[in-house]
Amino acid sequence: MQSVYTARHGLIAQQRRMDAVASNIANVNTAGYKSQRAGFKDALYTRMIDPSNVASDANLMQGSGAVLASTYRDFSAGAPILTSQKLDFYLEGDGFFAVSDGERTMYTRSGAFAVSVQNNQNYLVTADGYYVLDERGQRIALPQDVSGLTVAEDGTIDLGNGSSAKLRVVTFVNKDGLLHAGNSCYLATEASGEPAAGAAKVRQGQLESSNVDISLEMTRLIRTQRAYSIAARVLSTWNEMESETNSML
Amino acid sequence: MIRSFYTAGTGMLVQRDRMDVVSSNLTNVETTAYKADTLVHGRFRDMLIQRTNDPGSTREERRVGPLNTGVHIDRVYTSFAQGSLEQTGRSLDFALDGEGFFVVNTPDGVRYTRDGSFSVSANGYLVTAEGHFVQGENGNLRVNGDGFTVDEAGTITDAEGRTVGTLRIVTFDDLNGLRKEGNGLFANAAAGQARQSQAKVVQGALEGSNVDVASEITRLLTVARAYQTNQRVLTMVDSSLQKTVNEVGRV
Repeated sequence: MQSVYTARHGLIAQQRRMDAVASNIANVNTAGYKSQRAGFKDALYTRMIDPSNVASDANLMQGSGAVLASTYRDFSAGAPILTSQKLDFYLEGDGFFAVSDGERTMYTRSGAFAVSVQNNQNYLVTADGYYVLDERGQRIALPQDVSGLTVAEDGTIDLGNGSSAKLRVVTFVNKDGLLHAGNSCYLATEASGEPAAGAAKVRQGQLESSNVDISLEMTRLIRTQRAYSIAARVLSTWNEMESETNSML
Repeated sequence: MIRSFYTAGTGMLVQRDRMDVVSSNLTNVETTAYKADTLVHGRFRDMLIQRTNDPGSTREERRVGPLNTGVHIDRVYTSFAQGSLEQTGRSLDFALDGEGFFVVNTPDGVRYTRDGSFSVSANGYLVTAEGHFVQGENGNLRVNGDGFTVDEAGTITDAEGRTVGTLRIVTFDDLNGLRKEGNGLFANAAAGQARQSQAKVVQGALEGSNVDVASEITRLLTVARAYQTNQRVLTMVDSSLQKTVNEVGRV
């Protein structure tokens, strides 16, 4: 009987979905977090009788369960939260800030930036210490005093000492192809395409809230749990039937 | 009596196959646009039982009557009933309201699907989760990102208001001629020529599975019990035979 493996596929798929739901619920207050959704597809089909004779007319295709096909991230904007902090930035519209951990360039919508001092030089960094990059892909050096720092809609930072820098704001043709690197940061992949200039406007003194809809996640939690117990029920029924088979001997 | 061994045996075999189909439905209760399968079973042709050694009787008098020798699986029937639409708000999610299929170009040829959870390829084309090109009226659709809108008829308009193309939505005269291939795809085995469908395209929504959990669970229980019953018949026949072999001769 195929059903034991079918049930197993079902259990695994629902477990994966539970991981996604749990991650969403845990990040309900993480600035710039984008909720994820698990998408299922039906697994392979085989002919019940005579698998080689596919030309025969009657439909005898039997499924083998469900698989997690992909997780989709919802990149819609979270609501802006007013913080009035000089170094908090909110992207209004489609776009990502470009940041670097020194080796890789990553992309994030979380604009909770801070100042990092290195060799008596101040740099603009993310909450996790990644350098925020400017238009030319360089780190942004800040003056000692950031109280006069202002940012224009197009991402130009007036550093308050007469000089300026422009934040790099990009977007991607296929945001589903971005690889989540943790800390609300994403890596560009072959699937996402090259970064292109983003149209988002930069707002200072605001942060983007998580776009997790907690009531939707609770609904998903319940549905996942039910689907899991249904698959478990299939497994226990299979077990019952096979013990009947066994008792024939 | 030996025949009943096989009759009960075929009963068990069919229930095992039914179990496979029911469990596939039950694990796909949360699968996008899944269509429930039902295994239809038929019985073997009746046989006419006739006495072979009854001297003096006519041919008609030797007849005992018809005997059925069990069941076999006949075919899988897929229900194409509409699943409920679920709002997702994602601009790359599409659901079809009505009878119809999206057309997808795969390496194995043209396939049909109702699962509209699409993506955009790095080159800007509309693709499925597996990367197969979604077909418009004039071939592949280049949408360049997710900032586009789709109306009921499937016409895609980009952010600047230009028409990019129209989603190709087709249907068939005989939906039972479609064969499932997994990943939500259907192949046309004997469904006839594809023709334009009147189904409405809904953007930002997905179609749920059309599995009715209550009736599938009922079926699951029925299958388990029917299997048990057939097993009991088989063991009863076995114990009768045991008596025949070991005890009848002892007199």
